[in-house]
Parts: sequence; structure tokens; C-alpha cells
Amino acid sequence: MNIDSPKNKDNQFTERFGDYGGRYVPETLIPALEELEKAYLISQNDPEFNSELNDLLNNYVGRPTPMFYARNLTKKIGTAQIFLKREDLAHTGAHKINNALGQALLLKKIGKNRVIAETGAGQHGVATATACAMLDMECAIYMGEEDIKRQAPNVYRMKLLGAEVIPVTTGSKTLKDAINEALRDWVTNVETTHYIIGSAVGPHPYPSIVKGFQKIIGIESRNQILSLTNTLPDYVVACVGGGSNAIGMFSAFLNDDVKLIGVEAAGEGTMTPQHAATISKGRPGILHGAFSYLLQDKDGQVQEAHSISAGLDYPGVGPEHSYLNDTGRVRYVSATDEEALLGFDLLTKTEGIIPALEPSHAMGYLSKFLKKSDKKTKIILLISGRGDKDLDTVATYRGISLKDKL
Amino acid sequence: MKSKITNIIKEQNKKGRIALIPFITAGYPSVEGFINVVKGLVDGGSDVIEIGMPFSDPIAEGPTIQKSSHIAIENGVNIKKSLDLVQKIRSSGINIPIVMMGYINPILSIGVSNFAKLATNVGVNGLIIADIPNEELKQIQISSEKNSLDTIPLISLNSSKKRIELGCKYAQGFIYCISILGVTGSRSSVSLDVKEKVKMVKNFTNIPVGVGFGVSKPSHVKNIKEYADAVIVGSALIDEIAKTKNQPGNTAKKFISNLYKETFK
Ligand SMILES: Cc1ncc(COP(=O)(O)O)c(C=O)c1O
Repeated sequence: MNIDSPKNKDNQFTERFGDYGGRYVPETLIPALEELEKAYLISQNDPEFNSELNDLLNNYVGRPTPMFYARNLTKKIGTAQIFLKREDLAHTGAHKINNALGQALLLKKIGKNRVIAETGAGQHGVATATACAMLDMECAIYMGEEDIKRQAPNVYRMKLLGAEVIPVTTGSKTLKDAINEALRDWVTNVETTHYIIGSAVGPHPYPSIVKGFQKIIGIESRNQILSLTNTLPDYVVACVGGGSNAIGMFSAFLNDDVKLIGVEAAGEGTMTPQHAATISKGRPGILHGAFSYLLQDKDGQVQEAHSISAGLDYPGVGPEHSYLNDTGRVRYVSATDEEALLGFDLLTKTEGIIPALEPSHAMGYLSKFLKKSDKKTKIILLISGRGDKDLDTVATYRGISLKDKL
Repeated sequence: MKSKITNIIKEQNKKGRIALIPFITAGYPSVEGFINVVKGLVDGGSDVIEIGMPFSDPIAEGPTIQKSSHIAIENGVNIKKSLDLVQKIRSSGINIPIVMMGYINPILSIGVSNFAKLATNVGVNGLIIADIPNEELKQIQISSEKNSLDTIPLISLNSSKKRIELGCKYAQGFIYCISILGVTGSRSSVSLDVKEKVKMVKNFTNIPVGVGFGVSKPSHVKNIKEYADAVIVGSALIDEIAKTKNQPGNTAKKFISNLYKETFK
């Protein structure tokens, strides 16, 4: 395994990815970021921390998650061989638990006992509430009012787990605004509270730490595809919201001759204003502490993103993705709401796997793209989460009410 | 060349007074109303005026300033329009020092050195950026080198000695000491820890030190006067303007002159 080797400049714990990243936050947060950075770096060489985390990942989260050869999908599409990395089978139903648990354990070391987090789809909120229930920590989750409506089952799950869910009514009432409120809480309670950010975004050291806890996805996938096929894949495809599942996956393949594709949400289309295709349509700017691609107007006001998927509905993106875009190492594309729903149906009907709407974007993109590829092509598709949380959204989109008789 | 902001604050201090620095969002409560507020603040006895450039995601602000920022954006005010408004203020004959406060993204969006040039041209004297730590001030200074724009650092209650030293190193005009852990907004009391912080800051610099965030009452100002050189009052003023609706200029004038009278009586 060559990730994190010293010669691999692109994969280290770093404040800057090219010009991207950095630490653009109020002075009050600097001590907490410095403390977090120190604790994380110490934890990396702490055998006790690592064995505790590994034990939880294996026996609580259920890692390694399987890699499944999607034979029906492969047959149906009749072109490439598709392998699904099944993060939907991780405890709580998405990759978010890897990071939430890692950061929560880190907190124990720092000695803070109150956790705050933001959530869009509710998956990071549920994962954080779960980690806090298990590790006995106080937990408050900020969630946009709009997202509370469309992800109701996850709101109730968080409450059952003992978390306080705080509705956010400012701005677009979605993920961006939930992060704003979490940051305001953190500035206020910084001495007792840790902020578990849910994606590879935010000020340094968050993008590196989140990648650090998510790279297990890539490490496992690389080993699994090698033992299943004896070769590396031709393509690896993942959806990109803030970019944590994607960076966790991509990080293991950066030095390989493997094509990497990140799929953003195109909402109603990138030619309309209703999308969340940050890298495709944005320009570099600073939001939530990092310099990265950003959807913004000509005055530098941040624009509201739009996607059927709450987890991709964010006008920013993790700084390392901006860098990987500019260097050309990863190709960033997008899929519309409609294409995501096609992907959702395709995977559900052919493989009996109901994916979350976020990875449905990757599936939707792939089903278009595959027409051009050939039979020997091997593809890993990252299924970052399961779709239970989205049933209501899909039904509503189709004019069906789940409360009526189906 | 000495800073105009520093000079005015020191003049006040020589008279045994603390300098009063009100904060108002550009374009709040309306574009016209804002101009009247600034006039009222000057008439009421302000020493320096801090003007907020509205941003969509103001993470350092509490509900009051968030709301004023949102309304200002709805009133069509952006970064350039904010500077236009300063020009209007200057051409009406007001020459009190003006400090702009903003967030980094809109400034970056028009270019830091371009912003510095435009701001200097319309008569802005200083700049505060809420969401950059003090090491980034160096870059801002390099980009605005040819202009006489003071970069004003923020020091927090939890800033270490090392970080205070860093802030002081790049400080011009005055140093802004944040009186609470938290976002802007009126508070019922001011923490005793601020006094210690201000003392620490003064070990590193002769530049005046101002205290702000949460300051809302004459009794707060009276107390802060004992150890700091300037005081910043924002949310309390904006709350007052929001309450009265009509004649924001008069409200602003009354607010400041009352604060002035109560503090120095
Ligand atoms: C299942 C799932 N996939 C992907 C995402 C997007 O986040 P990221 O890009 O950080 O992986 C989310 C976010 O909520 C999610 O729940």
C-alpha cells in the first residue's frame, strides 16, 4: 500500500492542497483548531487509540464493508463490470459513521464532553448521535428546517439516540446554514465543546482529519478489488457533496493508474440556477473556513444550492477536491435529480439494493457513461449509504403520499 | 505617518475619555436610513464609525447583526455599494474616521488590493475582517501596501500570549479585543476576564485597545473605560433602530449622546 508514503505529496496531512484549504475562521476558534490538530497527530501514533478505533470499526460498525460484484447490473448494461463498495451496510447506514466515531474517540482524549454537529441528510447527525450514545457524550445537532422536513425519519432517530436536534431557520435552511449555526455555537462554547464536522470541508485540520478517518473505504476497496480480480480497476466513481466519501475512496488510488470520477448534484440542471455542482459551476472563494470552489454571485455572496438529495445540497466542496480538479487527477461531473432517480431505480430493481439519493447520482451518471465503455472495463462504484431515509422524498417527487394506500 | 484612527482615540484618552465606536451595517435599515444613522451617530458624539459590509453567511454575528445584514442585502447593498455609501457620507462633509468590517469572501471576490484601493479612494481609514486569523493580516497588508488602510486585528479571550503578540505585530489603528467567547449581540454583563486580556495586549503595543461584542449599556462602558481606550457598540444600537422604525437618524443620535452623557457625567 503506498498511501501516505513520504513521496506521495498529495496525500499528506496538510493545511494546503495547492492554494486551497487554509484556516479562515474567527480568532476565537484558533486555539480549538490547534488543540484538535495536536490531538489528532498524537492519536495517529497512539497504539491504544488505534486498537480501540479498529475494534469499534470491526465489531460495532461492521467493517470491512463488502465489495459486491453487481452481476445483474453488469449483465443489464452489458458493457463494464461493476463492483459496489457497500458503505450502506455500515452501522447507521452510511459512511458517515467512520468519521463520527473517529472524531468522538478523539474527543475522549481531548477531554471535552459536549459534541455539536451539523447535518444535511441526517446521516452525519445520526452517526454522531450514535457515537455519542455509545461513548456517553452530550450531543446537539444543527439541522436546516428544510432538511428536517425531508429527512424526518433521521430526525426521529437522532432524538431516540438522545441527541438534541436544533432547527436552523436562517438562509436557505439547509446544510450551509446548519454549519453556520454550528460554528456560532462552537465560538460560544469552545472551551467545553467539540465540533464534529461531517464532511471533508472546513478549516484545517478538518479536511485532513475527515479524510484520515474515511480513507479506510479506499484502503479496503483497493485490497478487495485486488483479491477479487487480481488487478486494479479502470475507474472509481463516487458522489461528492462536501466530498468525504469520495476523498476517503480516492485517497487510496491517487498514485495508481486508475481514473477517478466525482459526481456532483446537478439539481434541475447546471444550465439552471437550481443545482449544487460546485466544482463544475463555481469559482474559488472562502466559506466555512477554507478556500475552495464555491457557488457565489459576482459580489461574493454565497448562493443557495439545490438538489433532491439533502446530503449533496451544499454550495461548497472540500478543498482537496478543488486541488484534484485543477491538477486533473480527478474528473468532476454532475448528475441531475432525474438522472439520480434513474440510478436509484436501476440499482433497486436490478440488484435489490436501495441506495441513498446521494450515491444514486453516481449510479445515474454511470448508467449514462457506461454506454461508451467496453466489457473488460472494471469499475468500482461507491454506494455511500442506504436509501431508507429518502423513501418519502422519492415518493413525494412522484406525487405519491406514503400515508395513503400505495 | 501616524494613523488617523489612533490619533483620534489618543486625543480622547488624553481628555480622560474612552473613544466611542458605534457599529452599523451599510444599507440598514434602508439605504437612505443608513446615511441618516451615520449623520446621527456623528452628531451624537461618536469618535470613529465602524460600518459592516453585509455578507450572506456572517458566522461571527448573533441574530441582530445577522438580520441587519440580511436586510441590507435585500436592499441591494454589496461590497461596492457599501463603499459608494461611504463616498456619499464623505461628500456630505463628514470626516470622522471610518472602519469597514466584513468577511473575507466578498473582499476576495473583488480582489484584496483592488478593495484596498477603492476603499482608500472613498476615504475609508481601517479594515476589520471577522473570519481571518491574525497570520492572514500580513497578506492583507501586503496587498494594501500603497494605501493608508489600517488593518485592525481581533484578539479573543482565549488568545494565547503568542497569538496576542502576532496580532499586535500587524496591528494598525487600534486592536479589537473581543469581550466574550461568542458571537455579537447584547449581553447583560461584560466578563471580568477582558480586563486581564487588555492588560496583556498592552504589554506588546502602544496602539490603543478597544473592547467590543456584547457591550450594550452605559454601565458597561463606564467599567471598560477604566482599562481600555475605545469601546465598540453594535447590536444594542441596531436593536434600538429596529425598535423605533421611523427616523433612524434621530434614534442613533439619541443612543450615542445618551451613552456619552451617562459615561462621562
Ligand atoms: C449517504 C451519503 N452519501 C454522501 C453524502 C455526501 O457527503 P460527502 O460528500 O461528504 O460524502 C451524504 C451526506 O449526508 C450521505 O448521507
